Amino acid sequence: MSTDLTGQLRCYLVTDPRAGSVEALVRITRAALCGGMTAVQLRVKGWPDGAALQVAHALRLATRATGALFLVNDRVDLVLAAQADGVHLGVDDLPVSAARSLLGPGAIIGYSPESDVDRDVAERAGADYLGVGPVFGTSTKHDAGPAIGLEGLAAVVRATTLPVIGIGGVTIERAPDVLAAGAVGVAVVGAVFLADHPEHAAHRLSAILS
Amino acid sequence: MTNRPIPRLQLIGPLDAVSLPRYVEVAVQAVSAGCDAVHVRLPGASGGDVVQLARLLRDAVDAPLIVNDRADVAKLTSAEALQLGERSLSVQDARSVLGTAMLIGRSVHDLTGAIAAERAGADYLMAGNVFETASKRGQPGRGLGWFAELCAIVQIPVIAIGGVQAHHVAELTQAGAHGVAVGREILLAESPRAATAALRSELERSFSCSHASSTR
Repeated sequence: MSTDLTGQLRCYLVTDPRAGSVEALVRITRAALCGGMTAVQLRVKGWPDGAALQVAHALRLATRATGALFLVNDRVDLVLAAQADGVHLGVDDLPVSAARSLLGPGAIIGYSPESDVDRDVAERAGADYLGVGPVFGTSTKHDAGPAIGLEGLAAVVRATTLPVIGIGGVTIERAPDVLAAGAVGVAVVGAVFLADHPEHAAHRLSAILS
Repeated sequence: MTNRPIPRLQLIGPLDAVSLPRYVEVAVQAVSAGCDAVHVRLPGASGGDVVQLARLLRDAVDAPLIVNDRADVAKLTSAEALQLGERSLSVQDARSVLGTAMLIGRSVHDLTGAIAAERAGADYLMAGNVFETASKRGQPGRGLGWFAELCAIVQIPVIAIGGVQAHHVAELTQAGAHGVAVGREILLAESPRAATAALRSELERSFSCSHASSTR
């Protein structure tokens, strides 16, 4: 895996569908990119597809301007329509092999495994990185399982050859611990989306991780 | 746009009342009785579930599939058509993903929507609900007059949906319908095969008598 991808996975923002409107979601994400986020995953479950694509187009431009990686959760069709860099998949989404066949070898495919078997299948099917968690308790994703802790994260890092990002309840203060456990990056939702000043929050995260 | 024929008798579902295995089972029976396309429609479901249903149907059913909403799944499973609704991608955006080889249908509920969908490049429309149906509780049917008016203002084929039964087919095709999409009238019928066969024979009768409709 290229060090380029590893670097782009360092400060990873997952958008919060509760941002409420296209404008709010784009505004907060743009601010976070200015603050130094290196990757954005668009996650807008439950939104109408037209609105989701509108956001995707805006974030494609914003990420291109800062050089950040731009991924879309689950929807390979939105990836294609917005010319995103790739897709992030969970166990309920399209299989990694299906996404790879639709997107081709150049796209970035992330995967959130829920078991060792999931992880092996995704790795063999050509996933480029793993999202692993919840590292800590989380309030932004209600269907997340129990926290696996830093030890659980470290165990996955040891078991895979793929780069791993830690996700789930990661605050700016705890972000360095996630890297210390072997992750190449930290994914945040609430730490930026619920911050009074998303750009400052992103900047602090970026500074503490560099 | 493609020159592929638009299926005239489409099975649409599943419904909340019908399990996925039952839907596949009924689809097999319906296709054997003259249904010529089967919808994959799981609104709000995750991509994995939609792919799974599409693959189950593709393996079990000898008829083209029409995937609703998910252009990625339509492409992945080489569906005959993608069916879009009001919460879906626009026809143009879906076309940018799929190219011109796949049919794109758009569900419409009013004349303005029909004109817009045709202008956006939809290959066909699905319009309804024409009659009252338990799937849209509390919404009376928009009626045959409405349906005829809609068919008259567009050039592309229109599929009638909503409470359609075999005895409606003649008046629908006279009003300009290219075909019909049917859910619970087949899925919940005592004999899905017989219900499908009745619809099919009415369609055959309509199109063999009415040469005008055969070009649509």
